[in-house]
Amino acid sequence: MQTNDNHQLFLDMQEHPENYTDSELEAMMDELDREPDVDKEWKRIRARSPLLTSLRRIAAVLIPVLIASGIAWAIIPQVISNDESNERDAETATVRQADTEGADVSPVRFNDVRLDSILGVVATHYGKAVEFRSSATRGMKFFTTWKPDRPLTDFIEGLNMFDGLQLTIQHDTIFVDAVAGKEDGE
Amino acid sequence: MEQLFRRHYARMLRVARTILGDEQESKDVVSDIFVALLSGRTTMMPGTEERYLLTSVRNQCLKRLRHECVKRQMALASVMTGTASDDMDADDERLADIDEFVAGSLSEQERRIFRLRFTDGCTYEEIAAAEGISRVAVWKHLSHALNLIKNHFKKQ
Repeated sequence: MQTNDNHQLFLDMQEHPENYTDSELEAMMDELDREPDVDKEWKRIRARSPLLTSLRRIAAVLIPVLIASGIAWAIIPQVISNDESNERDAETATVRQADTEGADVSPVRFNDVRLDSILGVVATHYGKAVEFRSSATRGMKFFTTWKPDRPLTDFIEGLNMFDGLQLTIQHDTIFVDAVAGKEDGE
Repeated sequence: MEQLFRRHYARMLRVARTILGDEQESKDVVSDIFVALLSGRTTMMPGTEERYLLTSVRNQCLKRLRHECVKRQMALASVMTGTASDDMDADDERLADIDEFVAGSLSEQERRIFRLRFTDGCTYEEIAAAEGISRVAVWKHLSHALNLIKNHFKKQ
């Protein structure tokens, strides 16, 4: 099955089985039905997964920056989470082909991650600073998806749909405020 | 997704091997299908996973043969499609032609064997057990069916 000769043999056996002995045909069938190494092939496919590749690329770029800024501890486990959670991300991310074609990075999913960690990653990507004008909002946790190839305003608008929170962009800074009357409910 | 892979990979690879006759190329075809699913470029309707995966393998193998036009593979491409054309738009039509010919021209047993191998991805052993015949007899039935298909499409 690996060489041209074997392939020609395979074709000839299909066209002229009468020219071969039963044992020769049996040997070819054994080869065609040989059980594959499923574990090895699964790893190979996972290594080709665009989302996983993108996550590793993002992590490679961002982790040194985050470590330097002292906020790496919370987000690193999410960015380089295990294969199974990455797989769930791949299955649940709402982004489809039309959104990702031509994009350099795939969506990043934050699962139950603190807001200050999320914004640390996102703001760094867009070259912004973050200022929490309400300390209570720092520890709020979110399940959300960030598309690094989309404008920052898209992500901010999405976060503003959550109760108790108001984010605004002014010049090079993202300001985070608690919304009166809603923060208590968080 | 991993469960789907583990459940269907061996069958998918058997279909690809039988059409392409090349181990690495066969693995690549199956791999491409799962990478597309993992990336979200492709989605499956619930309840159709097995049929989708096996049909995709068969179709992708035929398209790959047509695209690459590798000389050593063209003989089998002609067996399966009756032509070496690069007309991708006609792929589905040709596949439908094959199904129609199989339904109308092969014996009942040959139809079952053909379907078990190329649509269900069964092993020769499984087909032999299901039909109560030897593996060599299965090979010869499949060979006969493929040669009939080849001659049929050569006439077109």
